[in-house]
Order: sequence, then structure tokens, then C-alpha cells
Amino acid sequence: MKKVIHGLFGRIRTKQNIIVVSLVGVLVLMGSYVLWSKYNWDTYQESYTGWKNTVKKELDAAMARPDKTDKDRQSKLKALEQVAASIESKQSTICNVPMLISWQHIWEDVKRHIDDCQSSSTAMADLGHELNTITAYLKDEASLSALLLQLPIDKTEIAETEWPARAAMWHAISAKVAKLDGHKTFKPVQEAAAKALEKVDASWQAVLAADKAKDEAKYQKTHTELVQAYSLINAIADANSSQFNLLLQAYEKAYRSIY
Amino acid sequence: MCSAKYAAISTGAALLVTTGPIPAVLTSATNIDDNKITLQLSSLQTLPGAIAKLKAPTLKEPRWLEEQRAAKAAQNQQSRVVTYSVTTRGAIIANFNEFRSQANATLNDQRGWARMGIAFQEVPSGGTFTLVLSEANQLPTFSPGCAVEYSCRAGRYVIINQDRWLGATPSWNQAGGSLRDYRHMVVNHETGHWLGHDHASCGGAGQPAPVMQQQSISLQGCSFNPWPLASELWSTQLGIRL
Repeated sequence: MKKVIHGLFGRIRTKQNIIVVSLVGVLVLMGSYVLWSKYNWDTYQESYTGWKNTVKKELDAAMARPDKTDKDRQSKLKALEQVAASIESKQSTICNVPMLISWQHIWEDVKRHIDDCQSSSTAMADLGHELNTITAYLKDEASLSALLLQLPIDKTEIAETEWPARAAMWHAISAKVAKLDGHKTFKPVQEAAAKALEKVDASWQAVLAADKAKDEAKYQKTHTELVQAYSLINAIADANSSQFNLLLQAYEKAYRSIY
Repeated sequence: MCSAKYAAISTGAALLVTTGPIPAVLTSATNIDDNKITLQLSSLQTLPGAIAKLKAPTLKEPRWLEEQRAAKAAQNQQSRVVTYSVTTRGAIIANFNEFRSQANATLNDQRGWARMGIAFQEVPSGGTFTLVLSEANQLPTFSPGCAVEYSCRAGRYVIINQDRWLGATPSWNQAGGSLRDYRHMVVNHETGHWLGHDHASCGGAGQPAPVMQQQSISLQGCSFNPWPLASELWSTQLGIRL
């Protein structure tokens, strides 16, 4: 009888031990999970605020680069492109949450963190996009400028013997400008340039023809038209100014929405 | 089940404590000057500089045209003499003889209207037009359209404002133009009106101004020029076409 009672109590004690050990185990697991969750959400928050600050620092550093020479400008453009690329690569993963804690978005504060991160990430993507657009535009602008700078700049009267060379140069550059394939935002500028250069090219050809024919009336008319054609070059500057201002406004808007 | 609920509640509570409000860095706008962004990006633009260098060229007249003109001028020279008389109005302090001789030299200068193959000859009275050296405040007496500030042409009168003759204009002087060149310009400009010309505009930045442009008022990007351009060598008054 004593043995039976002792065995019964022993089994009861063993069950109690198991329950106690299990409860302690569950509590330890829960505590670890809570701490791990806390760690993850802290990191999550720091990760996207830190990212924004890092991007700002990179952007400020790129913007502060010198831009006096062509080489400086190219290197500044490259630095800005790198910032845009880094935004693009980070933007898609910055708001990812580990699966084990993702369910916690059911709490309003957690959800707010996730929403904030996602809206920040979208704003950063916009900034990266606008930065990419503006750098693409500036690269196209540099290509067009390089072509225009090949055109002769005459500060003195040009003798008749030099006209064919001038005309040939305008013809060649006009053909190259017409073939430029730029970013869609640069198209209006490129079109204005192609139109102006085509007109100057045609006017030079007309002057050459009148000169060859030794026809004074035709020569005076084509000479006047040549001067007028050069004034069309101002349309390139107008298109450039208006397009670039649009890009600047878009960039400033994207920048201001974050910083 | 009970344990899971506890874990969820405790996790949520822990998160509420740890996350707190959204940090200020996310919501406050860092103060950055719009102009700074504009300047930092605009300085990367290369096109304005490239475009600014492209100016309409000045073509030297081809040799064949010079020859044609010379032949035409030689032909006209024999038959076309334009006579004019010279007078004054109001109180004149300028040297009248100098005015007469300089005006005649300008009119017959081979850079001027004389290139059309005409010779200007001063006669004691009458003539086809009258060149007047006038006191400034007398200008409006020729025509309501004539102002005391400038020279003018009214009917047969080509009137030179004495103040302008003696001192040119502030803009001309500021640009470093000489008084003799101003005198060439004003005589050519007002005679140009008599020859049948209206005012002209600058043909393009950096080009010499047409003599019929109101250079005393605005150069419109052109450079000062006292002589008629080749394209201005015509006269409805004399029936001379380009």
C-alpha cells in the first residue's frame, strides 16, 4: 500500500515537473521572441532613417563637387548617377520584414512604421528617378554641345573663298545633330537644334548657289536669310531653358518631399 | 493557445514601448535653398555656353559683287548729281563752315550713300533738299514729329540737331564712339530718310547696325555703324534699286 501511494505521488511529482519545465520553456521562448522582434523593429526603423540620411550625405557630396571644367562636370555627373543607382538598388529591399514578425503589422504602431517606410521608399524612388532623368538630360546636352562647339566661330568678315568650308561644316554637324538619339525629355531641344541647323545649312547652300550664279539680287536675299537662319539658334536655348526648368522643378519637388 | 495569446500581447506591448513616435528626421523638412539646388544642377549645363558662341557671320562682299557695283557706280556717276543747300535755324554756336564741309564729306564718302553712284553737290540755295543745322529747341518747329532730343527729317528738310552735332548721345559716347563717326551717322541717317528709307532693325546680334537703325536709342545687339549697309543702297526718292 505504501509502495502504491509512494509510486502515485512520484508520478504526480514527475508530471508537475514536466509541466513546470514546459511552462518555463514556453516563457523563455516567448521572451526570446519578444526580444528578437524588438531588435528587428529597431533595426527596421534605423535602417530606413539611416538610409535617407546616407543618401542625403551622398547627394550633398556629389552636388558639392567642382564643375568648372568638362572633366569636373563629367565626374560630377557620374557621382550623381551613382547616387541614383544606389537609391534604385536599395529601394526595392529597404522595407522588407522577416516573415516571422511580419504578422505584427496588425498593431497600429507597427503598421505605421511599415507604411512610413514604404512611403519613404516610394519618395526615394521618385528622387532617384528624377535624378536619373536630369543626369540623362545633361549627358544629352553635353553631346549636343560637343557637336555645336565644332562649328566655326567667326569674329571677322569671312572671305568668299572660305564660304564652302563653312557650309560643309554646318552641313556635317547638322546631319550629326539630326541623328542624335537622346532621352525623351531632351527631344524638344534636339528637334529645335536639328531644325535650326538644317535651316542654317540650307541658307549656306543658297548663299553658295547665289554666289556661283553671281546674281546680286539672289545674293542679297540669301545673305539676309542666312542671318535670319542664325537667329533660329535662339530657339534651341529657349527649348533647353524650358525643358531643364521642368526637370529642375520635378527634382526639387521630389527632394523636398523627403528632406 | 493561451500561451500564444500571451506571447502576442506581450510582443505587441513591447513594440509599443520600443517603437514610439516617428523620429523627427523623417517628418521635418531639412532647410535647403531651392536656388542652391538650381545652381548646383544648372552649373552642369553646357548648351547655353555653346549656343552663345554661335553668331551670324559677317560675309565679306564677294569680288564679283564689288566689281558689279563699281561698274554700276561708274555708270551712274556720270549722270546722277544730287544738289542741296545748307542753312541754319535758331541760335547756332557750332562752327557752321565746319558743319558744311563735314556734312559734304560724309555725303560724298565712298563708304556712304555715294556708293549708289551719286554725287552730292552743295548749292547756294534751293537744291533737291535742304540740310539744316538747327538749335535743339527749334526742331519741333519743322514738324510735330521732331523732338528737341534728336535730329529729324521733315519733307525736304534734313535737320541736324546742334546739341547732337556738338556732343553726340550719351549711349554713343559711353560705347566709345568718336564724335566724327557720330556726325557721319547722323548725316547719313537723316539723309537716308530723305532718300526714302524708314527705320530699320538690327539684323542679328554682333552685326553692324543698319545706318537707318535708331542707334542713338537702342543697338538691339548690333554694333555702332555710321555707314549704310550694302542692303541699304537703294532710294525711292532717286529711283535707285538694289
